[in-house]
Amino acid sequence: MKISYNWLKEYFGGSLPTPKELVETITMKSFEIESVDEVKDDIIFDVKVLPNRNHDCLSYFGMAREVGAICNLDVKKDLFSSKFNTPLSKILRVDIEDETQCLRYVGTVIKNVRVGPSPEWLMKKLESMGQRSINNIVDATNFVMFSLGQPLHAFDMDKMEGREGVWSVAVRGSDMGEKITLLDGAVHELPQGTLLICDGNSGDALGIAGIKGGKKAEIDSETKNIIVESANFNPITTRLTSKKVGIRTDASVRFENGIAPEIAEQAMALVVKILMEIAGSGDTTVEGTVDVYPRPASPFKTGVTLEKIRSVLGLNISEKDVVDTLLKLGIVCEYVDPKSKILSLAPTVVGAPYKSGASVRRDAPRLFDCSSFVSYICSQVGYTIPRISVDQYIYTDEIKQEELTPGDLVFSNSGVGNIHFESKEYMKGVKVPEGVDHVGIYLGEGKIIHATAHEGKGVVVEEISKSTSFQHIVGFRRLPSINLGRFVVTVPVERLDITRPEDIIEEIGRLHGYEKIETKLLSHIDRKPSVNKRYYYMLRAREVLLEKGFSEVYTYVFVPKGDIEVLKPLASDKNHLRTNLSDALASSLDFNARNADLVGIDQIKLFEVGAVFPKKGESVRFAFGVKNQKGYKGSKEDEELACVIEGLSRVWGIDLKPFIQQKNSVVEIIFDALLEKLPDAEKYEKEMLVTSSAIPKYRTISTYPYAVRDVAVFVPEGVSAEDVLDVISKSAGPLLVRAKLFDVFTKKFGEGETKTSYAFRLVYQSFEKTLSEEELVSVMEKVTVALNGQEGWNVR
Amino acid sequence: MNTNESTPEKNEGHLHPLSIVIKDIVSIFNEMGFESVDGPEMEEEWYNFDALNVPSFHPARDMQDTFWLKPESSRKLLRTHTSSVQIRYMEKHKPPIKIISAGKVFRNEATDATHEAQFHQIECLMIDTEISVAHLKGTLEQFFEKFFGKKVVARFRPSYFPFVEPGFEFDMQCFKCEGAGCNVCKGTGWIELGGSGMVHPKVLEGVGINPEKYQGFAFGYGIDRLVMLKYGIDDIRQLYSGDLRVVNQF
Repeated sequence: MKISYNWLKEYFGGSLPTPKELVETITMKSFEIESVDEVKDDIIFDVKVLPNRNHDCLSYFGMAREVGAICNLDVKKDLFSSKFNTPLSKILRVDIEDETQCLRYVGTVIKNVRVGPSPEWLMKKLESMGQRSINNIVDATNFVMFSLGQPLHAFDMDKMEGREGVWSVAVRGSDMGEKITLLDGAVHELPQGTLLICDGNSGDALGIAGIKGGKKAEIDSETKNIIVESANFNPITTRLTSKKVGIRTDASVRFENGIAPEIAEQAMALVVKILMEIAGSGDTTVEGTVDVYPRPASPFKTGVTLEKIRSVLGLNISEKDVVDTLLKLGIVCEYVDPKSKILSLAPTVVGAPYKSGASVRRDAPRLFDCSSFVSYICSQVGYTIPRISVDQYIYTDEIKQEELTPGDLVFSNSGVGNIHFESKEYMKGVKVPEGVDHVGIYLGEGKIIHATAHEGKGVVVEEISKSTSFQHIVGFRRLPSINLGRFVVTVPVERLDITRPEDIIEEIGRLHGYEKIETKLLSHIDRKPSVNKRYYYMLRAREVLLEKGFSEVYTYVFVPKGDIEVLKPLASDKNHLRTNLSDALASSLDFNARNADLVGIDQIKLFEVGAVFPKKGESVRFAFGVKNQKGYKGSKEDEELACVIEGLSRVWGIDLKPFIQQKNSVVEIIFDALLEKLPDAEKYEKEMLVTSSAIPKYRTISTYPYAVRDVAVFVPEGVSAEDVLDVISKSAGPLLVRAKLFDVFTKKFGEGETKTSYAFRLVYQSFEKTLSEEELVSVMEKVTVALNGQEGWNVR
Repeated sequence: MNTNESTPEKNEGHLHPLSIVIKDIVSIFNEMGFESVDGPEMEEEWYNFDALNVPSFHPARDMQDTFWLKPESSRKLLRTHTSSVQIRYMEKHKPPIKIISAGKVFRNEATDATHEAQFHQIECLMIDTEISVAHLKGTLEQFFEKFFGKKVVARFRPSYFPFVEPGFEFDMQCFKCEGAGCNVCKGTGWIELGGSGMVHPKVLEGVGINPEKYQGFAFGYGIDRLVMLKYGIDDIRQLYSGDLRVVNQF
């Protein structure tokens, strides 16, 4: 998100560390800064907000809170604390078809607004965000979105249908084939079920929920009466719709990351205040508000022990430092003794009615089922315990019946209904053979407190021995670390990212400073690492290939033809996965043959090890190939290959025949199939664990073509090939990249003089361009002149 | 011209620089007690994403451009990281766990001098009862000291990877300029090496390891980048060109 230094500064009463210091602190404690740009009298940071903080930090207020915490500064509160106490609207009604799709909808009617240009301060702010000013109404909604992270929208009420003095907003899924014209004039046919904001009276679509507004009720210069929307839409729905319709906006990005529904109200308060200031006149009135928030959640609590914080961070942090650090983030925590808190808290909800599937955040402490009761009580003492009884069983530690003390949990199998025998949502695959469907908290003296559908129909205290729910007890369990003090943290509403102890540990770690954690080595090696069989035999084979002069290449997995196709390939000739190594290796042999003079070889030998993807599945293969240059006098290609096959059979101790495919001069070995026949390796050979020593200085390669020229020179007796080469190198200059002696002979001349002829093949290449014929002639001319200039030397 | 080049090539093959570095990595970690394990390059969605706490529709999936394979309904893909090997290993083994996995990974993004559609990563995973961020730091420093053959200063910056919490980006003080700023570190004095963190309890839960009893660290980094840093190679594509002008320098 782009952050203007000047704008951010307003949240701190004008005092903020220098931009340079701020960048350093944000980088080390919060987020990466992608760029810092000076714009006029301002500085714009491009802050790469981490994905788990998009909930709260895609906004100035969020960023200000973060900067306040990491720089130890107080954020000015009065910028957002505008009280919101408008009356209930008499002329607006809001209907939400599906409350899982629209979690909250706050709508406010403002009458007699004056649409016009925005004041300069507002234009300037939007400009710093790279936004175009539209009009004061639209600009105000955008300003609040950047300020608080809550996208807003304003509708021209007079373009909607009033019925008997009532206007209606409906949030519903689109019908089959329904179309909408968006603000930019584009007409979209919507996939069925797309979440829309509609005129509830006329049925017209006014916008795609959370993504973009429609043309129908657009604010224009004539607009008088408006409905302002501050709503909360389902993140997944927003994300899917945004992808389907191909529209990504500042609003959709924010909704798809999830925003706390509580912010909808704060944002409405702020935007109404600003609208009254910049678009209001004597007769402008806030008629009223409708706030539909079907399932408000209670504050989220989680917790952690001091011991866990220390053990995860490896840092001996004090209790006071923990509390102080969290306070900087506005996170209030108390340090409690979990057991006594459980015992004092649990009885306070006796009598609360039973509701199967009651929500811990939205129904407790009014309604409970057995496990939501346990989950709720545990959450109040800082445990993030699973929701379902069988998972609670697995989460807690086993104790014997005689160890049972107040605050422990008792699990039973009631024999009727839904009995669980395996973890549902907690630890995959963990089984509880006895079956669990009920749980309660032991209070001592034979008494248990639990939420039951039987008898009392709700939270009751009973004698365990007499309770019908605990006739068949399957386990006595204890909350982990129940005897340790625990920080219970009430998570600020906007911090949707903090849900578990580890999230608190992260906050403490980064604010306290990771640099304060001293490095520790793993104390001892408790066991010798096992040998990776594939790696072991691969190394064995590699030794053979290297020794026989084969060099290793890595070619591409993406090829034009194969059995498995890529859904969205990078290029049309890279749309399949390779089914063999041989094809690419053969191309590689040809490629290198063309460069043979440049590399200075006349026999190309290559190998590759890698996975291939034929129809029957992925497997690792080994391939090697040879290509002799024309006139090469050494061993034939087939002889080379046979020699390698023999070497491999020797080191692997197996007949390779069943595992070999040969195509021309490339051999491919079905390595994974062969591997199954080989015994496990006990330990790595010593040389297999030797690390490389010399670091060669890499010379980058030229992408331009090379040219070859031959030169031969007669020299008097006593002149060596090195002497000749020396003269050639000096005269040819940097364009000469390789010189190879390819012919030597001596000849007696008439006067009894013996001369030797040295013939060199010279390879020229530039890093900057393709060498022209003139350039080559010129450089060869220099070489010839230099050679002929030596006493008694004659270029032939 | 380098006169060495005029002497004929010895009849000995050359190991690819990626293989040299992978061998160094495996050897160093083996000495530190880490077992080297493998996993498939063609992966199931579950191992590459869901089991690593990246559920469907989560914005975090956008962090990596994925090569999905046909048919789409198979939910198969080319792994985007070696982290999937963690899950496969933990499904079959109980703590203590101490592994590395080096291998090829894939990202569906345009290629240039620093980006390739296929490249190599190493993953490291350590799970036991009392493993901390301090051990993570220690292990990283120990490895890079051995790898670069000199004292290494590491730093952690907050970051986010769904499969760890807390999560860090780890940087190494530039080995060339030692923090003063140079062309290798683009003037910052630090070189970004990779991602790391303490294994997210949801990842442990998902493979049946009790996060109330066990904790540990994981980290991963690009091997190609290490190769390029160590040898001064300026274009990643040269590693996959099958070109002996590159390989024969090693």
